[in-house]
Amino acid sequence: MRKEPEGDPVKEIGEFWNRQEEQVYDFDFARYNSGPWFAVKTGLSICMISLVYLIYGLHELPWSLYGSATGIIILVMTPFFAGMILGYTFENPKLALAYSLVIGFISIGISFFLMLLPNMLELAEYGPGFMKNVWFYGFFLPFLVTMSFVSAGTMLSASTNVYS
Amino acid sequence: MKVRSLKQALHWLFLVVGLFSIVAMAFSVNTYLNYAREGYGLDISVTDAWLNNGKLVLRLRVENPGGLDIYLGGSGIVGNLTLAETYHISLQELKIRAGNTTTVIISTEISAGEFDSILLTGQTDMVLNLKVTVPERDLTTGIRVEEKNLEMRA
Repeated sequence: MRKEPEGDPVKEIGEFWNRQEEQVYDFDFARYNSGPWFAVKTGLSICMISLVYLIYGLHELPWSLYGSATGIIILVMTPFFAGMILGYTFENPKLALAYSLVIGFISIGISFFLMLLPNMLELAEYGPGFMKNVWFYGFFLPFLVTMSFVSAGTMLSASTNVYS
Repeated sequence: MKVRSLKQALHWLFLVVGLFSIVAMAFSVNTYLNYAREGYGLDISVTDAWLNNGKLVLRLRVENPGGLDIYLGGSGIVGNLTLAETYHISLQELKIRAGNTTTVIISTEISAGEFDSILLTGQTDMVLNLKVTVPERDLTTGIRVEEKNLEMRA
């Protein structure tokens, strides 16, 4: 025998939504989106994203992400995570998307620059094969990851801020 | 502190990951700049040295801690050894696999005068310069090994 629902179902749905709203607004928006937090989020996002791009592109380091499934997961999940945290700040999804993509491109630029640093400082002689490597692993792949995963993370979190 | 929501927890997780990444970034950049500066991370030490028929023979322990295969030597003159005089060195190309340690033996003909003086004192100062290539990165660099008062095996 199916159990009959107790009380007024319409009222229950209303209460359910109230509870949901309470849970959503339990997060202290004013605090986590204040100026200092926003600056910290931006800075750390750039650092995190450029770090994973850099250690994926550089194969010489023992802790390089290149060549393992775990490495690829870290390569895509870190920018996703950084984009997600950035997205919580915005109530306008378009603005969130634009901002996170700019952050992603700045990170690509920084990791690209750091990969070329030994060449610029003339610490070692690099041949043309090196540049080919840097363009593929240091620019092309990070570009794809930025376009897909940073924006996906941002849209996921920005969408939770849109209620009306 | 009470964690009130998933968003808050994610923000604090982000802070931890971010701070960790600053440290990792500084460490990584410093490490690979040092790699590029000399020998691409190769660690060479002289484990044994002896004199034999007008030649100085060195046994080297070569360690490659990095993630790329590194080649030592090649065709022609691939470096030089400086004692009191400087001598050219030839060494057949040798692959040192990523994460491996290999023993390399280098034998160089040295002048009779120097041979006798080293034989007499039983030790010498030396500087060894070798060519290092990394095909995967299409790069060439050098490595310098310096030993003071290197003891000769009798």
